[in-house]
Amino acid sequence: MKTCSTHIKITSIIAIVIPLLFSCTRDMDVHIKNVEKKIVVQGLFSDEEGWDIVLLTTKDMTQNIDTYVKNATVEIASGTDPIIRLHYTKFGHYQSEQKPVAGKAYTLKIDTPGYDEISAQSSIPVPVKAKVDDFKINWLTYMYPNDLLDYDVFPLTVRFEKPVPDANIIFRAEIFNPESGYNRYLLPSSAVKELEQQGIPSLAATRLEQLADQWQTDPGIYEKCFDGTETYTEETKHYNMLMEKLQKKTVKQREYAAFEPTMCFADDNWISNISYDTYSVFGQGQQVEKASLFYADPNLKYDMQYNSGPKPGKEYWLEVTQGNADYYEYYRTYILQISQRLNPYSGPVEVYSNIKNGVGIFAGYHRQMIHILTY
Amino acid sequence: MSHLRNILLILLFFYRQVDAQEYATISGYVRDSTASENLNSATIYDQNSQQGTLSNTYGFYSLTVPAGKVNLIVSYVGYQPKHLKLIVRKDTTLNFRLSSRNQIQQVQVSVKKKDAVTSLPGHQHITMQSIEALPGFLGEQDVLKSLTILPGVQQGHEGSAGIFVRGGSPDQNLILLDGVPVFNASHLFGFVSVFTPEALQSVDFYKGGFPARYGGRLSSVVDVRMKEGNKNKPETNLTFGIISSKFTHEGPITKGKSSYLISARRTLLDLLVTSAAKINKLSSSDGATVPGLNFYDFNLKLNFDLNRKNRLYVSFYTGGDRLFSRFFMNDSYTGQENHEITSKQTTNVNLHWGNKIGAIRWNSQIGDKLFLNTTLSSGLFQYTIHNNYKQVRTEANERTKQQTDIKYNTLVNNNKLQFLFDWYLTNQHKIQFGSNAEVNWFVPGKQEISRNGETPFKRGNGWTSNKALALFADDHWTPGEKLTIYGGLRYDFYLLQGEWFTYLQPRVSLCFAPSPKYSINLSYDEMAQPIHLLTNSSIGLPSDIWVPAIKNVPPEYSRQIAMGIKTAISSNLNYSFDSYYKTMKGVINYKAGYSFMDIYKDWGNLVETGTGRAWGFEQTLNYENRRLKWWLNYTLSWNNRRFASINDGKPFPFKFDRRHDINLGLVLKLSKETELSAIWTFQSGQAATVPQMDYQAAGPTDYTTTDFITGKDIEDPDRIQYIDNYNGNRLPAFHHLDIGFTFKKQRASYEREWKIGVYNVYARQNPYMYYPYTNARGYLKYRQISIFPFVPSISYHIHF
Repeated sequence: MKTCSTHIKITSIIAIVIPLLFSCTRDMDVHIKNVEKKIVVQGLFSDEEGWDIVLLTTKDMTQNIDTYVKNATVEIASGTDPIIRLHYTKFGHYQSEQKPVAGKAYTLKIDTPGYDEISAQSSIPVPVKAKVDDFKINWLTYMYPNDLLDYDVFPLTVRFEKPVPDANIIFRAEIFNPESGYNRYLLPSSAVKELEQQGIPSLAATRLEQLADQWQTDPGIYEKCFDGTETYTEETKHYNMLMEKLQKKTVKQREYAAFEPTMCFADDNWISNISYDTYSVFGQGQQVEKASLFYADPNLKYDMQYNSGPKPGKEYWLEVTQGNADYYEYYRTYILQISQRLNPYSGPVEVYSNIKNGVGIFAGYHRQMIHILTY
Repeated sequence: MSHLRNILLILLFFYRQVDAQEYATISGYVRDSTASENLNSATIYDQNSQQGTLSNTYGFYSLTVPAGKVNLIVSYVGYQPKHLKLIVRKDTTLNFRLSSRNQIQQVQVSVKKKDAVTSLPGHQHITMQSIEALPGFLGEQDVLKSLTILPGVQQGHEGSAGIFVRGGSPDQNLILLDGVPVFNASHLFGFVSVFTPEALQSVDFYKGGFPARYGGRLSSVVDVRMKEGNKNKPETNLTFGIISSKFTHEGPITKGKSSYLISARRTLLDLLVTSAAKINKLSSSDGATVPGLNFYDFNLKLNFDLNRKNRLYVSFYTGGDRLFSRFFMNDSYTGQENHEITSKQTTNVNLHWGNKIGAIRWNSQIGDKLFLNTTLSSGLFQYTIHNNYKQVRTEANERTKQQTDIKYNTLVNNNKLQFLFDWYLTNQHKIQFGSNAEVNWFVPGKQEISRNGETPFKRGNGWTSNKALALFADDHWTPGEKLTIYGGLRYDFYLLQGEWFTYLQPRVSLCFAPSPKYSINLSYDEMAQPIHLLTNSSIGLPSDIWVPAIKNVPPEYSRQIAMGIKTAISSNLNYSFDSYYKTMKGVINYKAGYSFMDIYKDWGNLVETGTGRAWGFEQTLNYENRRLKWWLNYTLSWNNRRFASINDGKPFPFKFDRRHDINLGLVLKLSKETELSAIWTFQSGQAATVPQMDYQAAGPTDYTTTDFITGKDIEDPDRIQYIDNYNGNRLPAFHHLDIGFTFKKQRASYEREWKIGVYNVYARQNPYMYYPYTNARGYLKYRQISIFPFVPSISYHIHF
């Protein structure tokens, strides 16, 4: 009996101690192969703007700065049309004032010393005008199946003027805030040098240099250049130094970059949201005539019900983008990769590329912005 | 039809050959003398005519010998052989009872040596004694883990469910308990298998050279047989261990004629953990969490001798895991009009998964040469989640209640009727043939959400089914002492979405032994699999979902060719070398970015089908004498997959492609009562996709910034991670050394056994999971989680 109780004691003690021994974490040594740098093509084009192709290289994820390709020959060809040669401006941009035309097939050719010739083909789909049916705001509670959360939404129907053949369509809800949306900010490259002399971290200076001399819609983009480079106590000092150097102006156009995304959900069989993304609705189909959506903004319902003061005056818009199949697949896989990056259950997602001997995308699209309401 | 006619003519020819001479058939059963358990694969050999045969799964044998004097020797590994001299004039029934022995004698070694050289390729018959001699994990001897010491069989990683056989995935293993498929063969996230060793009789493992009676999976067969129960006297086994405690009791219902076996196993660890959390809950008024995890198994077997030629068996198994967490939070504060507001929230999360298996088996001896086994069986695996949230809010004596219930259910159910004939046509031809009909039911993921008693919102993939019919036959042909040929044909018919899919699967194995010291073997197998497993990972979560093959995701199919040699270097030392090449088509993978969390969508659109290719070389060197047994197994292998949308459609290494797999082990009898065992396992690092480069995304990049699952912000959503080579990186190698001591003592009325062991003696931190993070200097690093750095164990076993 004594032996038995000793056994039970020993067993019990070990039973408690053992779980404490489980699990530990440490940095892992992964056998990583050397990966060759590839040329990245950022070549989304629409019939609203001139040609603008950005060339850079893939970079080691442990580095912080992109390397732009400055010495490439970039040409666009379309049938028997004269070849368009794009001119290098800065930060990897190769541009032309000539605008692409919907329905034409374009071939991109890039020659870069030290790399194989890069090529890709694409076109802009023939646009079909879209409009939103008259609607009354009828608030509903919608449970988004992908995250099982409730959203306050109202239904909206988008109707195309005629059936869209081979439709590859992306819907996004956007907000334009007139208070900030017309402001533009610029940091001259001379100011970057001055800031560097005043002691800002060199990594921040390099990042700022890449944004210098370009008007930006959001001053926060400059602030972001300091991320990870400064101590907590330096933050305010650097912020004030930066703000002093920023130039500001106002514009009259609602430029696309000044819109902010808000939420939009699918309410039709042929369209859906991707993964956990709440901003974009994707759909592919044949002879598509309409799409039913749920439009949502986290603050709009509250503002309408409880804000008795002046209306904020925010404009609510719907973006309808008709892309070709490459454009659609690129965006679909991009959102999928972002959404699943931390999901331990998901396998890695490769982002679609149609660039031969490189990565990135060369794809045409047509974008329409439809005003929904102002509140 | 002409093929069938030819086969019948050949059979008739052989039968007439036998008939034309004066022969007599000796038939009967070979059983254990103590418990009357049937002995499978016992050898019955007539030394005069040099004719021999093997008993079948149920101990039945039939041997035709020239009429006259016979000198029989009946042997079975671990048992005293029995010699019998007699004169046989006519067909005779002889039942043998062999006695178990402790001392290994020369006769047995010679029999074993012959078996070791001439056994068919790809097959291992494993007794429970050999499994029990190995060091266990946390004191648990485990059938599936013990298979991973064999060459060509890999453990995924620590804590992974299932085994990986010759480039296959865990769903490609047909795991049978008394002939019924077990769909989820693991407990505790894959650390322990569902098989209670004390309730088992033997395990037959096939990685190639598949008999035609097995079908429905591509890579391996693990045929686990439960004990039948002692027909002569009651026996009890009790085990107290860290992971679980077990009780097994067996005995006669009617002495010598019928028996029963009951076995129960349950975790005890959760009682401690949950109790501690409950005590903590009592001391906390604001909030607490009470977690718990347990598993259980219950086996029942009944066995009746209806008469001399008919037997009835009833098998039942139920087992499962339960993971739960109860969370509560109380809150009170003052509202706008000085009302006191109280809020009580409770969340109950219950996950339950498990198998239920039932089988009725009728053995019937039809004459001296024919044996029929009829089985009616049903197997079910079900996984359910029930998440219940309640909030009761009281403000100014007004009470509001909110409740949300989320239920998730996935299941697979197999119902089968099988007729299996063993026909001892001649001593050279042992033919097995039969058929089975199956109906499989699936619920591939259904969710029901209800709030505050409202009509539930339902979604997912509801009930679906497929049907299968199989006809099979094979001939175990021994044209001479030096050659054994095993030729089989299986014809599967699958009814999938109203359309029949047929698969004719030839299987051939041969073993040529020009001398008793070495043999050459060759096998070719084709296998079809009408069900798929949707899985993202192999971390042992029950989130894996079984689905039927459908028209656009058709059954998987494999072809495997294997060649090898076996040689007895000395009476104690054996060496074998095998090589294999396997192709698979129709293997499935979730499309990029999809996981089991999307299963409420049409699952057929979430997956893509591809191909697989695996090849490798397996070597075994093993030594055994009375005191010492050691082995060295080494596998060099390659394992690729190919899917159109992954890696630009180029082949890439399968996640569990391990180039080198080494297993070194020993079992040493230190004294009559003490035994030492040790196993060192090494596997090359598993393949992984570790992005090293990225680039700026084009166009609008202001998408989701918070991950739904982890709730963490996704860093740099405007940057695309560039995947140059899918699964092109290697995680650190996986290795550990396990040792165990067994101390046995035989008392007058009972036998007791202490097992003390250490898993991972030198505390190797093998990666279980890994995740990326950015360190303080801004560099991307990968951090690994290891779960079993050093785990001692102890268990106490008593048998009476």
